[in-house]
Amino acid sequence: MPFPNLFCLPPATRYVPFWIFVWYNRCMKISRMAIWLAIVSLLSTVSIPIGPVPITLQVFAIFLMAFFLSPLDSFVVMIGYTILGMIGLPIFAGSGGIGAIMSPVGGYILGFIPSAAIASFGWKRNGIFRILMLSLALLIIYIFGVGVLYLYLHSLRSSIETGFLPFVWIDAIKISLVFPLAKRISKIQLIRSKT
Amino acid sequence: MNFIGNITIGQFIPKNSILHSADSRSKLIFMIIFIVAIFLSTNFYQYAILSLVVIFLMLLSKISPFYYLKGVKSLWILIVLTAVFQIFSGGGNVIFDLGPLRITDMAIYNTVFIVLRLVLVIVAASLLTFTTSPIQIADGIEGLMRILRFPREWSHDFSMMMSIAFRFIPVLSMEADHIIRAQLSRGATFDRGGLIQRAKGMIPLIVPLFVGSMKMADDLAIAMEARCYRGYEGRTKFREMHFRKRDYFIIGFGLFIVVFILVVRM
Repeated sequence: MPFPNLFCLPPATRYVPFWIFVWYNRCMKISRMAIWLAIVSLLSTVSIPIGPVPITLQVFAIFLMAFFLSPLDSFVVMIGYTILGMIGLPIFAGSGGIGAIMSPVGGYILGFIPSAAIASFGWKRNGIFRILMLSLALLIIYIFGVGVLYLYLHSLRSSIETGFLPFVWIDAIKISLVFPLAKRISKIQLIRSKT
Repeated sequence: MNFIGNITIGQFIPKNSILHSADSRSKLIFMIIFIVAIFLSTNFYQYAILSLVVIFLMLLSKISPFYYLKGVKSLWILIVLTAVFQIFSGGGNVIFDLGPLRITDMAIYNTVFIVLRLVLVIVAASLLTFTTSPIQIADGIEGLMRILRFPREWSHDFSMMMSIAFRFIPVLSMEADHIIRAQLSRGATFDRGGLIQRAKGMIPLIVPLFVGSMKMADDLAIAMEARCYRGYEGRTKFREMHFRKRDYFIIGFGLFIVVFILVVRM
């Protein structure tokens, strides 16, 4: 008796007896997750140079991925993203390697992992609950980021001033831009068809 | 607006050395143990021992030290950032006093340690990524997940996803480049106007990119299905991984370093 396939099957198809469809879904699921991993890696390297701090699309890409994937899948994709960056691909907003995670700004990258799952959970809900969950997801990124920054700065106030306040409103705007874009993309039949 | 131009996937440098031919699982375990050892060490003797070990491994890998320096250089912003954050942390006797910013002897001492630690971590990670190809690393991660008793389907699917993503990142990067040029030739503007103009300019770029990539994912899924892909069941490997004597030796060496570090500390 093989282990029940919790990893790659959506709940509705878990008990479908036609195994051929199940296999098809598995291929679909793996390739979709891989392509989202590639898209997040690619969009993380895009920067729009405005002002001293360039705007990167990292958080934007992660929340967009969370819109289309299930919470567990987004979680797994973000773990894959972290490992890819640790191996040495320059996908953490221009830098890569294990040194990027060990540095003062590495906490944000670790924060993306739980945040993607919560954001995906939030997108599947409606109304005020969605907004609350998305804010929580954004907050978790910053809790991890400021937490690691605190280990270096030893002062909560200055770590919040340097690591939280200048960036949080830009990220909030970026996340509010995700929804219209995601709606627009999901009008296209190819993308809407869920595995 | 700039995508990664020609992204080097991984930093693998093919050479013929002991480290290159060792099993990727043992190298991964060794790296984890070594990074733990770096974080356990607190005084200069321990760092000297670790540096000697790193230099020994660099010589063993037969890769020119220039490449390692390049790896450190590419992260210089992060190193400088860490140093700047650390040097004003305070504690001990004040050496410089620039109003609100004070530099103390304790802070300088800590800064040297933290920078040294970061450089050692970067070089240790480069030792792994220079001597192991990305596919081998993905296989190694699958093997580690097997050792940690993850369900086999999870570990297999995870490493499959990683290997596919390795292939997709350069392809998508090229695709994005083509789309940028196509839209520019149609008169699109990505880098003019205010924030809203630029954000709007992203739409004709992102939508085709997504449609193209989803098409690619679907084609790949159909191709996998046509070849009867069904996970790990009945699947054999082109490159079998074997744990040989030297792999046990590598892990034993890592454990020996940790024990040695702890002995020197006392």
